[in-house]
Amino acid sequence: MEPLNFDGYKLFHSRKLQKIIKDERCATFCLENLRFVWAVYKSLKSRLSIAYPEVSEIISYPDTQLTMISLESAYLDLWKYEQFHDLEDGPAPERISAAVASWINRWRPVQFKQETNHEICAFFNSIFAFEVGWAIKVSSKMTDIDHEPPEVIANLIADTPQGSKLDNLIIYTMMWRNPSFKDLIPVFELLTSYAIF
Amino acid sequence: MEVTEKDLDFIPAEQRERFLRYFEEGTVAAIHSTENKGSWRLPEPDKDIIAAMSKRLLPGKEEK
Repeated sequence: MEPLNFDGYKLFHSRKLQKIIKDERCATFCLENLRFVWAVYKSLKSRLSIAYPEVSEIISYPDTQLTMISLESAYLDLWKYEQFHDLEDGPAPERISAAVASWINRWRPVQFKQETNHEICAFFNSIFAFEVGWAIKVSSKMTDIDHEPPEVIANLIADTPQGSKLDNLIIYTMMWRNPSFKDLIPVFELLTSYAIF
Repeated sequence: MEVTEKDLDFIPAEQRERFLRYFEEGTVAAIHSTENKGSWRLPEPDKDIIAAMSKRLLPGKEEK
């Protein structure tokens, strides 16, 4: 076998996929959800600067390419789901949340400027992904729950290092089980249905 | 849909340009254009290994 040539391994999008991504609807989807990405990033950074100031100094902005790839990938997941089930009203907010959260969790767009052994850095993107998903969910018009951020979210980076059991379970799942779009749907549905906050 | 700088006003100015360019050019689509379509390939399978596997998985086939 020939030695691996890295130049040979270029990923490509098929023509149909390129067409779907270049569609106006995809741009609208990315733009809408980019707002949540930045809003959550700012919110998390400000909370981080109180809880762990040394970490908030070395955190970078969400990477452009990784963020946009996350959103495009989420759109593609939802597009496939929509086509398959022939949805007229578009996907439910929980599904949009799940798709965006799962891809942000995979692409990990927030990087750190220097190495640190602080454990929050390892979990940061998982927390970030989940909060973006939750922000999408609570801001949707179809939601029937209170728009205030629930305690579970506020506790993710809180004074107590351990947080609650639910926080830990969610972040553990995001971090170690690398959930897919479909895996995360019940998480957002359950958090909405059982407003235990 | 044309995304303008005004649409991205929630992003800090120093980062806005990068996102704007992404919306204009679609970086991934631009990098991985159809020109590269033929360049992505899996390595050729090793014929000896396939023959050995076939023999092991389908032992009766050769005899027939």
